[in-house]
Amino acid sequence: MRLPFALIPIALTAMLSLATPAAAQLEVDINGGIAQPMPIAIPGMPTPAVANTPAGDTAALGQRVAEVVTSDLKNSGLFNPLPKSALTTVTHPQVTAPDYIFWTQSGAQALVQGFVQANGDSTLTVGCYLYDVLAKKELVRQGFVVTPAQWRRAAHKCADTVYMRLTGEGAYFDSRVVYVSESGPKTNRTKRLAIMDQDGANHRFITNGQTIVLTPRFAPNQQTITYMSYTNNRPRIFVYDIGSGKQRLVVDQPTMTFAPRFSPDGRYIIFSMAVGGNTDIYRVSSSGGTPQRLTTSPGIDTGASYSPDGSKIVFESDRSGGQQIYVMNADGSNQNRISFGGGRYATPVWSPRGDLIAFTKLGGGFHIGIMGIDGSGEKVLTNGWQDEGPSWSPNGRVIMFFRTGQGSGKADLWSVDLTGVNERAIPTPLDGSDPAWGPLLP
Amino acid sequence: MDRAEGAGLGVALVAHVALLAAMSLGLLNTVRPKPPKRETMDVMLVDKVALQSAMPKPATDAPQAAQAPEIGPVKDAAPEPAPQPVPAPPKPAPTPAPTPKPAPTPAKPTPPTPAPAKPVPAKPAPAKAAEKTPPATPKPEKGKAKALALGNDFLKGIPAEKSPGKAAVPRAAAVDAQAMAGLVALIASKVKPCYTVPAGGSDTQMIISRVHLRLKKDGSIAATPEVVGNSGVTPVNQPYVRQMNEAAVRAIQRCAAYNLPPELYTGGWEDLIFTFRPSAMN
Repeated sequence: MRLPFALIPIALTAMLSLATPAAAQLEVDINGGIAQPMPIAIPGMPTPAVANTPAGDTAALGQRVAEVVTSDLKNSGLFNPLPKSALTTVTHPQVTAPDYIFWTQSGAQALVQGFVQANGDSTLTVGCYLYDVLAKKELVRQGFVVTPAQWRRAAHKCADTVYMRLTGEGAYFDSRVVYVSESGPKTNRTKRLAIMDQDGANHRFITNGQTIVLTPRFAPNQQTITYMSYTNNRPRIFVYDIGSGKQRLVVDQPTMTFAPRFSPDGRYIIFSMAVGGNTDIYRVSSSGGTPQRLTTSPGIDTGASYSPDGSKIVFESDRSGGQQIYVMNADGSNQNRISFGGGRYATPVWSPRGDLIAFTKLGGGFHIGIMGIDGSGEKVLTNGWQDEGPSWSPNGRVIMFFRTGQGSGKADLWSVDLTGVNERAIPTPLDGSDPAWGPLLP
Repeated sequence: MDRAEGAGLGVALVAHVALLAAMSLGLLNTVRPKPPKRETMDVMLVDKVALQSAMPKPATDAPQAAQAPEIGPVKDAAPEPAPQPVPAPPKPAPTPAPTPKPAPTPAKPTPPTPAPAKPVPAKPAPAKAAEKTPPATPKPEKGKAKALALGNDFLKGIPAEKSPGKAAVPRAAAVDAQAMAGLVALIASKVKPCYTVPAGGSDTQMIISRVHLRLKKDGSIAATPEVVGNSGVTPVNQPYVRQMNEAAVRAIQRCAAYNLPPELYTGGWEDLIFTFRPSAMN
């Protein structure tokens, strides 16, 4: 199209009037900022009336609840709780009427207040309030009724409430981890199953260490754990009931079974079984029965993990020579390789959000990495000497794994953020490996 | 041809030349052709000027002489954006609220511990910023450039033309626009240190928040900054829009009050639209 020359200015004017609405407001672009944790104040929580409980008096509990909330938020790497010296005492009436002037001056952008109150029925109510200090308004409030023994769970729930409201992410603080606790000399390690809160509290052993146990995984209902145990020198998978303390064999066959994991609905367990020198992936009802074979290729197919909707399975296979990651439908059809970067890949785990797969990358050491479910956007998150066995937090935002020191053979639990930052050690009484992060507690 | 003739011819020649020159000059003076070149372009050589602000209306109390015949009232040009409700925090069911009965123990008036070492964002020297902050690299903004299908350079040049009365007072208006551009850079430099970008995946960082702010003449906030729009929102990053908007509003609130040149208040920093682009951070 050719415009007559004289019309060009008119056309230009018309275009401009379309492009720029008649606004006389001054436009300011903010093309940058600071990536830093949000300053947040979490003062001790008052009690309306001091009362004794089996977990201590409510005044002391108020302080401890605030400490747990502080620790959770700090550990997330997204918050920078003010030090205690910068906080002030909050009275019970102030819980719902914050001293905004003080908190603005403190530099906090958000404020968490609450209270701990003993109820007549031997329970506690923990109130949790989140305020936007700059906007001077309440953002969210939530109350939790717990037994005194469960006061830490109320604190985690409060931290989750704050975390969700301020980040838009899902909750994850009120969750547990099962892992393999290790002790003893390098050549003769004692390996016991242990369970703890995600922050390392409430730690307890659930097996006695007489047999070696590996790869524990929570069932979605968190009442059972499936794992591999060397009983009579043969690796086989078991299910352990946390409530009763009983364990049972899942597949009663004389073959080697390992790498178990529950389906998202808990109805099935997928695992690997070696039959006639060929290791394939099988599925069995979690109550037992005859396993159904899902893969048939020569070579080792193992490390299977369901997508959160249960429709697909990611697994590792060496059918092409070295270990690589494959995705297939839940019935075993449509198997496709998705990893094509250099090196080998092992222990793939589907994110609870469904959008990513975490894995151990082998080659030049062991590292934890993530990729899209089609293999795109591969990213290595850690650079320890030997980092392996990733497990997702319930919100798919944090990955727990274990790191083995060079030479010592000692392993420890670590976690790293999805973005590769905030790498930190998880405290355990002894050495630890094979962590499996359970779902959010109900 | 004798000497007299020769002299006469010479005189005539000189006279003709003189006449021609005089006529040419006179012609120039009277006819006044179109401006030889668009010298007003120099107005826009300042970086970091957004489209809409490319030609801000002249500050009313700046160079008065420059007030070219304005088309349309200055004030009306700034329509108040429709008040959009800021996402109100969901009020959950009134869960056990602590009855705010007076504290049984007369809480001892806590000595107001002087907030120790509060992280006051370092304020860049305003004057300096005005002169030299405009960051040199004009990053082509993804969404914007595409939407207009015009080059950045082209856009920069255009507003000078559309500005009414520009030709009559190019110089003064240029000073004006420069002052405005400097003002934009100054405001940006004051807000940036307070803008804590929420962590999140790259999808989250694609969310662009536009925030309307009215300031009082003393530099304080006249009304709660209001989010007037978002772009870059996808189904994946949708859950994070609220947090990104809140971070933008918080940045503005944290940095208030603003110490800005009073002479540029009216028609300048009294009424602002901020565009927060977290993805442009790195």
